[in-house]
Amino acid sequence: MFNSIVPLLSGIVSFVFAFFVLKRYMERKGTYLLIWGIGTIFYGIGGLSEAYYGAIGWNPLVFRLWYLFGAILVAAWLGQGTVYLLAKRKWANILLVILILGSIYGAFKVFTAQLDPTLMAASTHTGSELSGRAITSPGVRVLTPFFNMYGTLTLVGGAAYSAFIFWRKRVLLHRTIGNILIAVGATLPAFGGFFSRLQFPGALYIGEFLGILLLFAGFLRSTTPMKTESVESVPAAAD
Amino acid sequence: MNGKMNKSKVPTRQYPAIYEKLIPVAIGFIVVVILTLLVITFGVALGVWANSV
Repeated sequence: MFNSIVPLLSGIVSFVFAFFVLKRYMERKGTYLLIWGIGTIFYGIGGLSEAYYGAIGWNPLVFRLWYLFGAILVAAWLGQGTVYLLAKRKWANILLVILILGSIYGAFKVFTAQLDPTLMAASTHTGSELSGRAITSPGVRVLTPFFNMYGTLTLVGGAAYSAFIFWRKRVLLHRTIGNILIAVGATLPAFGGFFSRLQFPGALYIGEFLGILLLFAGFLRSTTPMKTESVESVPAAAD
Repeated sequence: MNGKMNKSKVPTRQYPAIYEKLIPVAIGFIVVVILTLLVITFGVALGVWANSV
């Protein structure tokens, strides 16, 4: 029950989040919004795949969708949106082309991989959650850390950098807070995976759910100015 | 004649007090987390820690 409800909630929140992001894209344009919208949809596909597994059981297609979108692509695509926000257009376009080619390659590897679902339980993993251990073909799981490193640097690093820049200038407090929420939210699935390996049941799904909540909260905070952004203090004049 | 001159001071901006305290701590924590995640992910990519996702 827990392993279907929590990821289902993650999936629902992800798609609601995606709606808001893509709605803002339709209103304001901005490639970063489109890419973020795609990334949040990937997050939702991962959550719903996990919910399916928890409720109904093993399905190779669902597993492949989960691994491709939830494990490999989501962090990198969310991070790519941040790249469009922070980097020069030319470099963002180049990195997007690389990401698209890498994603196509990853999709090919995942959808042609041999699978053995019995291996998911035979590990230090809890066994009740989806795991890449079900993939037996070489050259598939090795892709994940590279995409995740890119996602960590760009999404988490980019949000932290943005927060730092706003804080240093003491401007746009709502964006400082929003970026901190986004940065923290983006790390929670990784923490969830870590505690899952320490045999904390459901930790991965809880991490993913809390992660998408904070990402969504961060997006809403960043796009909603606060009443009190900053105060001006005038140093006392010397006599 | 009064030779004193009042220097005009440029007003500085500050966030509300609680944010002035919390935000640097949060950013510092995030930086540590980023570095830790990168080390772990890099280790997984090199095969130092097996059995990632």
